[in-house]
Order: sequence, then structure tokens, then C-alpha cells
Amino acid sequence: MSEKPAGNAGERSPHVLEIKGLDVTYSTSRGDVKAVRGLDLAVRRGEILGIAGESGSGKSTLAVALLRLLKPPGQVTAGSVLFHPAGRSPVDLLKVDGEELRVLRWSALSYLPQGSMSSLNPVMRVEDQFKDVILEHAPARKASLGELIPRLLGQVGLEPRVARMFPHELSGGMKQRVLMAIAVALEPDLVIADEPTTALDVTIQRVILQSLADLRTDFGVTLMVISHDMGVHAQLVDRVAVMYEGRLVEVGDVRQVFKDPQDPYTQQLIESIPKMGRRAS
Amino acid sequence: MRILTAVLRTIRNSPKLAIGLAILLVMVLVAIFSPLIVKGIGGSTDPLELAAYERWLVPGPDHLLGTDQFGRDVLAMVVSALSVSLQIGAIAGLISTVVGVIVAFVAGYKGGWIDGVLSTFTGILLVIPTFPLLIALSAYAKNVSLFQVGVMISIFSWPFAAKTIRAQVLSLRSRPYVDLARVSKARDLEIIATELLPNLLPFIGVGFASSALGAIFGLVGLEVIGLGPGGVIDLGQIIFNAINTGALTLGAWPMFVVPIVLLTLLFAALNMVNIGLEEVYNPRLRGVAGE
Amino acid sequence: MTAEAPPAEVVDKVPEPAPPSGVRAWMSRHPLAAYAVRRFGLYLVELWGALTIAFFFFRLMPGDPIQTLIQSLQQNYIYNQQASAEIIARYRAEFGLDGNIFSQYLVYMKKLILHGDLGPSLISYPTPAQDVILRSLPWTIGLLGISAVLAWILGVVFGAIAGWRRGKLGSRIMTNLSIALSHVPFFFVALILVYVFAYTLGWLPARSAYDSNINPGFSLDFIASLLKYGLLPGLSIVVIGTFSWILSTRMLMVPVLGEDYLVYAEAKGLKPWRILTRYALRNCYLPQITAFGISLGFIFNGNVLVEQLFNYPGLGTTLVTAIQQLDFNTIMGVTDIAIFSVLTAVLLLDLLLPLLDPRVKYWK
Repeated sequence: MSEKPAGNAGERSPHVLEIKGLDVTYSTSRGDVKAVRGLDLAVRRGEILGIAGESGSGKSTLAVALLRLLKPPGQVTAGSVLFHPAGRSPVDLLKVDGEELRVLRWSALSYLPQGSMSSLNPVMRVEDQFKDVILEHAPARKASLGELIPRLLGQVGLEPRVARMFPHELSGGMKQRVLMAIAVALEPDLVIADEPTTALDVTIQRVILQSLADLRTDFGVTLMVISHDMGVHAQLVDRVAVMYEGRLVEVGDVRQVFKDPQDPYTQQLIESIPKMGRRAS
Repeated sequence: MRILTAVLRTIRNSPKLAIGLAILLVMVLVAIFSPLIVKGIGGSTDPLELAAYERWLVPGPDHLLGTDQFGRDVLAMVVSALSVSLQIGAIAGLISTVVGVIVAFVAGYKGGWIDGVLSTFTGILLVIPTFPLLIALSAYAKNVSLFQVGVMISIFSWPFAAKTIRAQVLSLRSRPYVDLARVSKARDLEIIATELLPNLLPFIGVGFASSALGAIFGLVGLEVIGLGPGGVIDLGQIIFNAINTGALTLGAWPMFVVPIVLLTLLFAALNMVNIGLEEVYNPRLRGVAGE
Repeated sequence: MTAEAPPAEVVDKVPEPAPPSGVRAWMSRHPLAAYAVRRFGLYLVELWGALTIAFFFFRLMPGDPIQTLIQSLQQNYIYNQQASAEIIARYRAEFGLDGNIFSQYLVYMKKLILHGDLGPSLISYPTPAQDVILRSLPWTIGLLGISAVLAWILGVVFGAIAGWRRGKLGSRIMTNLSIALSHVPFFFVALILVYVFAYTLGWLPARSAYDSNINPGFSLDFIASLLKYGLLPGLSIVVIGTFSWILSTRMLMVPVLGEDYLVYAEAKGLKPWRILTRYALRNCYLPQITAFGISLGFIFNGNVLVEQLFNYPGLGTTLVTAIQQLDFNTIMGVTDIAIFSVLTAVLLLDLLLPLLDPRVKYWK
């Protein structure tokens, strides 16, 4: 964890992301429901931050709002999200739009969805799904694609021939790895991973978590990992933030939190896992 | 009574359905009272009689839509032709729906090779161009009754109803409550009558409305090219007369325009009923078919 | 090919291990070939079934064509004496009307399949019916083929845009217009178009396929004349066809827009046009290819009326004339050609589909 003192606005901030007073509301015919309430959270450069909480706690809404993928009736009603991409001036993610936002995506802010979701286009070969995003944001790499894609696949433990395959020819674990390789293809500042191990079987979960940790070492990306599974946080993250009913109830070093949870809800969450805490990070 | 309130609620929820039904209702009323209306127009003389009036009168206070080449009152003709068109639609729609429902239930509910054979047969009839057969049949059918014309047209329109309903039977058959009824050893007919049929009613309604529409326009199409079955005067027959006699050049535009407007209205009404029903009962389509 | 039972299913798994031996082993090693063979077999069954239905349908129809022929010969050649039983028998044999209906059927099918012979045409006796039909076939292929394809392309593109921009005013207008007009019969539009553009405004011709003062050939004048005369009949088919395809494409498009891969594409920061074409459209135009094949028969039906209304010298007009004259060999010929063309087009599209859609599994 880099702990440099905070410099001027243009300087390298110790934080990649600073969320302040974030409110997300879903308006329904029976009135508004607040999914995220007054959330303050900072993500440090280079760390793996876990977001924990049961389903309905607002953690997925948080991810979607940060990625600017929130769709009506969901709406951000308050707050700011200051993003510090390396080599660019900081921006409020909630204020950018259109072309400015599109350019920021993937090269600075990328997304790792759950592999069991059909996030890969079923009618495109894997390599084409690498190509379109790379050429969109870094057209200069066109010549090196033939070497880049196998290398990225290799990084997540996949053979080069996977590039020629279609999504339906891949297993769940393979899909998750392809998504991981695509997520880091442009060395983004921040990757937001939404339930990266859910719906995979236990042995594959282990491998995926290991690969995620390797990605941080190899690419120096900052990872925000959203998971309902406290075991994932125990094995992977540096710090963990616990959400409950849209609020942040606790945030801290993962060992600290597991050893001595401050909030009763965190305590419950930890107690609900069978035999936990032996392999912390 | 419960059914009635449910129907009313459905109508209130869907403006499309309400408008469509309102237009239809007006047309059906006109059709039902057409003998009285015709009598009212003619007074002492029968306005549909040949040479009842002078030929080719232009629209005026005595004859709102003028008269045709035989001196018949066009308004009276249009009113009675509308009634004929609607009756054809009702007869053919009913026959197609009944045949369609039976085929769909047998195929969809029984499954297996029966479904295979029936579906392939229905499929062939849906894909191959059957219109030549219909034209030929119609051209040789002289002086047939209205009912026979309805039967004739329904021969070619039942596969459409069967296809729509079969898809629904298939999706309903796998629902838990049907399995439950099977486990509790209810007889097939009982399951069909008590579990499947009520849930299928809206789709049967859609099947009826679309085959009625198809039949009315099928007949109009035959009439327009002059190959309609003899002895039936529907709206298409009037259009054909208008084209054939050059009525437009004689200032008798209502003979062409009025039937076209009526058919367009009828079409729009039945279409709105169809889409309204589908939207209400198939929530997946709500906001998909339109806003 | 029936609408709801293509022998294909979308799978999400790796293929199962090869079955032990023989035909099944071959099929699992060559899934595409196996699919093509099965599909072709189904095509032959459908073709045979449809041709058989058509044959018996027309043969069981009332009316005696030979009597009509004799009458027309009497008129044409001033043929005074009564036709002898011998002459009638000879014509019966020539038209394939001798013997019982099953032997007639066998003779008809044999001639049709082995020689492509439909028997003599009655109106233009002794010209064979296939020659009469071949003369009008290019017109129908030109009019119907171009209109149908054009309507499909326009409908899929605008339908995709209507779905993509759903909720926006333009899209809502387009959608509601499509709802109102999507199933209007072609001939109905033809009537209105003729009334407005040919009769009231006098802009475009309402009859025939080209200006009879221009010699047919590869001249600019002739092509311009073809386009001018083809515009109204073509429009009758294109307008309504486009609205139908808009509606169905939009219905396919809206669920696709909610798919995970569209959200992912957006997160990737791809350009909206690219997301629309490479992600959304590519996943919803495939079912429309099958639908296109299935719609061809329906379009042919509508086309018969349109041709007749515009006096367009295609198959439809030939059919109607043949029916009026009781020229049964030509009637059956036109029906057979229409059945053959539609079923073959559906077959070709079905065989094309595996090349376009990687997801579909074509073996069992």
C-alpha cells in the first residue's frame, strides 16, 4: 500500500477513488427506495478493497453507480465520486458524460462481471471481444494484437487457442478468466469486480482468487471486489468495507475486521461462515 | 359476474383494447340493425333493388353516397355489405378458432409423434402459398351461401390460429398446477377444461380476432380481382364494382372510398383488440409492442 | 420447416463425448453435415406433401377442362362438327386426365420430376404450361424478390433503431405506426396507392410492367421505364412488409437490450453505433432470417393480388388468367412453382443459419 502524503490536485493522489456522501435511489410506484445512503469511502491506489454485505445491502448498486451503468428507475441523488486516473486530471465520475465518460472507460476504469452472467457476446469469438475494446481505446496496439491477446490469456492461465473459441464453448471458470484478462487488457487504474467467484465451484474459486491476486502484482491495478462471501474477502482483500441496508457500517484492514469486528452486523456476517479466518490473505 | 368485472377491469387498463372494442361494437350494431337502416333509407322502395333510382346519382341530400351503375343506393349497399363482411368474419373466425384450438390442444397437450405429425402439417400449410388454392376454389364456387363462403375461407386460416394457441398450450403444459392436476389423476379433458382453457381464453380471443380479420380481407382480396364466390355482396364486391365500372371517373367516389375507410377502421379496431389483449395477458410484451 | 420446431437448440455446454459407432458416430463427428442431411430429408418430405395436397385439391375440383378446350378450339378454328369421343379421349390422354386419379397422380409426378413437364397449357395449347410459366416467372422474381428483400432490410434496420431508442418520440411514432399497419393486406395499400398516385395525381402508371413504346432490352430508357412502372406495385409490398419487420425486430431487440453483454459493451466504452450493430443487432437478426423464409409464402399470396391489380405480367396474373380459363395445367404449375420456390428458399436459409450463428447446435 502506497502511503505517500497527499499532494496538490494534479499530483498523484494516494487514492484512486474518493466517494463522498453517495445516495442512490430507486423510484418505484410505491415511493422511493434508497439503496445506498450517505456512503463515504476511499479506495487506495494499488490495494484490493473488498465490499461485503448480504444481498440487498446495496453493494451491487454501488458498483453499478460507480461504473455509471445505473439504469432508470435507479438514480444517483447525492454525492460525488472523485476519480484519479494516472496521468490524467481527476474527474468526478458522476459529472462526466458522453464522449468524456466513454474515453475514460476501460483504459482507466474497467469492470469484471460475474462469469456466470452472459457478459460475453454469444456470437463473437473471444479474440474479437478483446480486439474491439483494445482498438477502441488504444488503436496504436493494432500491430501487436497477435502477441498481446495470447499473453493476456496466458496471464490468467488460459491456452492461446481459447482466443478462437465462442463463449458457449467455455466453462464457467474459463469465462471468468477471459473476463479477467479483458478487464486488465488496457492496464486500467481501477477494476471493479462484481461477485467474481459466485456460481463457480470451490476448487475453481480458489484458482480465480489466486489469479486476481496475481493481476494486482503483474499489472499494478487497484481492485474493488464486491462479494457476499466473507471467505473471498478473507482470502483476497487488503481492506474490507461492510455494507448493511445501504450504509457503510465498518471499514478497515481485513485481519483487523475479522479479528475484532466493531459492528454487530459484521460480527454476524463473520460468524455465519463455517471455519473461517485461517487463511487470511 | 366475477368474469364480467375482470373483463371490465381489463378494458379499463388498456386504452387500445377499449377503443378497438368500441369501434367494433358500433360496427356490429350497424350490422345487426342493417335491415332496419336499409329500410329507413329507402322508405317505401327497396334501395337495394335494381333500378330503384336513377343510375350514377352523385352524392346529395336524397342519396348521401349517391347511386351505383344499377341505380342502387350506395349507402344502403355499404351498410348491408358491412353486415355481410362481419358475418363472414364471424363464421370463418369461429370455425378457424375451433379447429385451431382442437389441433393445438391435441398436438400441444399430447405431444410425441401426434404433435410431430400435426405440427409438420400445420407448418407446411403455413409456409406454402395457399392463396392459389383459395382463388381456384372461390372461382368455381358459384351461388354459394354466406356460410359456405365462411367455411371455404376458414380452410385456409385455421393453421394461424392453431400455431398461436399451440405455443401457449406448450408453455402452460409445463406449469406446476397442470402437473399437480396430473398427479392427482385428473382426466385429460378435465385438466384441459379446468386448468388450461381459462388461461388460454385471451389467446383464443386473439386467434379468433386475427382469423376473422384474415377471412374478411381474404374475401375482399378475392372480390377485388373479380374472382370472389358468386352471390355474396360484401365490401370487397362494392370496391370491385367501383373499379370495374370506372365509378371514380363518374363522380361516384363514395363507392370506392367508403368501403376502404370502413375496412381500414375494422382492421385498426381488430388489431387494437389483438395487441391490447396480448399486452394485458402477456406482460413480457407490455411496453414491447408499443408504449 | 415449421415455425416452432427447427431441429436446432441453443446450448451452453461443451459437446458430449462421441457415441460409440456407425451412423451416429459419423453424425457426431460431422454435426453440420448430419444437420444438412436431416434438413434436406425434411425438405423432400415437405415438398412431396405440399405437391400432393395441391394435386388432389385441383383434381377434385369440379369442372371439365376438356369440354372447355373443345369449346375454345371450336371458336378458334371454326370447328363445326361435334368433337368425337375419339378426339376427346385423345385430349384426355394428352392432358393426363385418363385413368383413375391415382394413376393420373403417378403420371403427373413422374413427368414433373423426371422431365420438369407440367403438361400442355390449355389457353395457349399446345404450348407446354412450363413455357407459359417461365415467361412470367422473371417478372415475379424481380418484383417480389426485390420488394421482399428490401422490406426485410429496411424493417430490420429501422426496427433495431426503434428498439434501441425506445421511449424517444420518433421511435414511439414508428412503433405505433407499425402496430397499426403491420398486417394490412398488400392489395389494400395497392388500391390506395393507385387511387392517390395514379388516379388522383396522375404521377405514376397504374398498369403493366413497362412502357409498351419502348423496346425491351438493356437500354437506359427501358430500365427507367421498368422502375417507373414497378414503383407502385413494389411500394405496396415494401411499405407493409417494412412495418411488419419493424414490429417484430423491435420485439426481438428490446429483450436483447437488457442482456448482460450489452451492459458489458457499454462498460467497455465502445461507440454506441458499434454496440448497436455488433452486439444488439447481431443477436437479433438471426431469428429474422428464419422468419423471412417463413414469410415468403405469405408474401407470394399477397403478391398475386398486387400483380393482378397492376396487371403486372408475373406469375400472379398468369395464375388468375389460368383460373378464369380453367387452364388447370398452368394453375397447378404456378402453384407447384410457388411451393417449390418457397420451400427451397426456406431450406437454403436454414442451411445458411449455422454459418451465421455459432451458438446453435445442429445435431442430436
